[in-house]
Amino acid sequence: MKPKGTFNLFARRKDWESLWYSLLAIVFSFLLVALIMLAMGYNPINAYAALFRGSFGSVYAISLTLCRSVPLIFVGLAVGFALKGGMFNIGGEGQLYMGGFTSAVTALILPQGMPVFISLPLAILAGMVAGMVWGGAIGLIKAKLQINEVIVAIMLNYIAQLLTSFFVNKYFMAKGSMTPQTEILPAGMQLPNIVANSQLTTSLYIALFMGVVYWFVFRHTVFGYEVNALGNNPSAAGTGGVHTVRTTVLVMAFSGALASMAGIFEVFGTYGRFIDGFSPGIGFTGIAIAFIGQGKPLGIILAAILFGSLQAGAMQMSLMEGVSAHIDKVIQGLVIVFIATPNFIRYLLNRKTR
Amino acid sequence: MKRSMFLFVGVLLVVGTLLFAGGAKETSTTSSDVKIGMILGVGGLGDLSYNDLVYAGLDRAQKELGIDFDYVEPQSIADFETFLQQMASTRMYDVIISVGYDQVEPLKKVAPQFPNQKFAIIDENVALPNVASFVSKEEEGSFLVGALAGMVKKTDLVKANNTIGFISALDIPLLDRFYAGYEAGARYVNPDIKVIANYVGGNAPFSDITTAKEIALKQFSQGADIIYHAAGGSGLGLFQAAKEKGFYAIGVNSNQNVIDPDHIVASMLKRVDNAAYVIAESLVNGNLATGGLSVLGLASDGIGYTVAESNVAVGPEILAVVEKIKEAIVSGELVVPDAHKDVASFLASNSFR
Repeated sequence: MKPKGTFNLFARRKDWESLWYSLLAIVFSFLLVALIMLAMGYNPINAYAALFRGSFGSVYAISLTLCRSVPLIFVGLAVGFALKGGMFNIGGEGQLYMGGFTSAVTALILPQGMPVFISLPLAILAGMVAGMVWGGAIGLIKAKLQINEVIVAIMLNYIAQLLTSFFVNKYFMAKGSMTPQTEILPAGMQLPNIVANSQLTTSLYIALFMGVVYWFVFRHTVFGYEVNALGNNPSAAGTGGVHTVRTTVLVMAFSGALASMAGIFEVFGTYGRFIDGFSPGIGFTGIAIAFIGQGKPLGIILAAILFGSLQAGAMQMSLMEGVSAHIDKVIQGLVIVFIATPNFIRYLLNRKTR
Repeated sequence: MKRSMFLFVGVLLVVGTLLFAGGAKETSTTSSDVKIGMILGVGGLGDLSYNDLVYAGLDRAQKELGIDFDYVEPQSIADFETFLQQMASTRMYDVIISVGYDQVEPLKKVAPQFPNQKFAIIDENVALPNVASFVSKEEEGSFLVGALAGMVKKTDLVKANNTIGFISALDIPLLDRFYAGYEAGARYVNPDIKVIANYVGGNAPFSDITTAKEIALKQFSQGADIIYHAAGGSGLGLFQAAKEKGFYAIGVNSNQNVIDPDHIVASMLKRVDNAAYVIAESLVNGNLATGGLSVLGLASDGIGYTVAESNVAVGPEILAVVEKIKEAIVSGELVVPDAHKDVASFLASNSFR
């Protein structure tokens, strides 16, 4: 059974129960925000109708929802992966900046004559390695020096964002550009659009594919089993023959690689270049996504699409109904509160009865 | 657990209501069916400068012309493309206004995707058939405040070391126009004056109050006791330094004299509110010409300067000269350089009588 003090939020409850919690949390949040809107003098039905139109009401709306979901899927999987191994990867923001920046610079430095089917995977791989290093370092510091991964990760976030910002401003700023961003990537390196006149690209397929990989690792590989064992009880896993230091580093490295893909595919898909400060806290939203999705790939994908649709619909809601576009963050915040609280209360109760 | 849940929801509700009370937007009555969408700069509303000015322009248009407008405040430069596409795809807007030079590249990408949508951009020239571009001759207004500073340096209001300062957010062509005008103006009336210039730079060049203050203090220690800025919200750092050390500052964009009337001598006015208003007006009149560039300068009241509401008395004879120079610029007699590299040749061929 779970030892005292282990704070593993999922993998303990039955599937239907997890699903029920998540759905309840979402419904509660929407109802609560409806009340807030009423108190502010808006019509919540009209507002939600506008929100829905902005996120699913047209081909463009759907493509915007999916476009916003793609990076959230990657970071959701990244956080979920680390949590399975008993670690909290709050460093997604830094990992995605390192990944996005490294891959963009690699793509720009590689000789133009190189065939795209070599240079594109090479650039993406470079970014993933950067993410692995940035994430793996957290695991290494935790495993070797017993320093809490949350503190290290948060500090590395600042370093990554400021470092990439420095390099973009100083060395890689596009010629003639008055904003801090790299040159646009060669046309062949940019992922093709799925829907014309939108920012939705084939990165969506890669995100979904990574969901399948995630499922496969935990369902069918020894490594996945070891990660789960480590997450459930590190000392038992160690006794049982799991190399805990190596697995800790690997979990954070793979989590970092997944998080870096959020940045990489914003660069190669959505924007076609690295833009300084492009992430509106994607790495942090990923934590919520992983919790709502209960660490399961399908759940993470659906949660990412939910949050993506909130982001996409928020502007429409603010334009049509005058409700502040920031209300989507209120809904997101409430969902997190409702998801986290019952688990947290249960955790406290469990400790008391022991 | 059930009861604590209800309690929790109750507390949240109260907090939420308190937080959001008063945030409700008043619905306006409109008489014209013109609808404008506006994408503000990243600084957003409340910068007491650029974004607030553009907003004020459309607000005036709403009251006087009965147009309706919506606006969004992007969180980062990465949002521009999404917001442009999103607004264009609603087909609700007669024109979508991009506010600021940093929207040039997203606009160049999105405008061709929606050839039937009219766009407008303030502060840059985007040569596309469905985009109306509006730029200002900041060098003209900067020339006037520069001349004012140059003449004040000859009075006993300040130290007799003939040095003034200039703080810019970034070394970009747009802000170079301020620098060029300011130095040319100062040296036009006061040929031996020395102009110290520094850039804020960094991650937030337009909202880095701390760095701007440090620069101002450094320039003051080098002898500059009149300092002009072209750094948006960062300029507040200059004003703080001026208040602490008791020297003079010159404001930019809007009438910033009101911020600290005892230390801000004058403000260069960049009437981007007029640009926004002109866009609305020409839409109502049905003659918004896209595909062209409109230049707003002293002559068209797109640019100006003011000493109103400042308590610093620079003297009527100085102001009379500034007015005379303004007339010369409006009449075309005096053509102010729009790049700092051209200041020397301007001074060589124009002399102040």
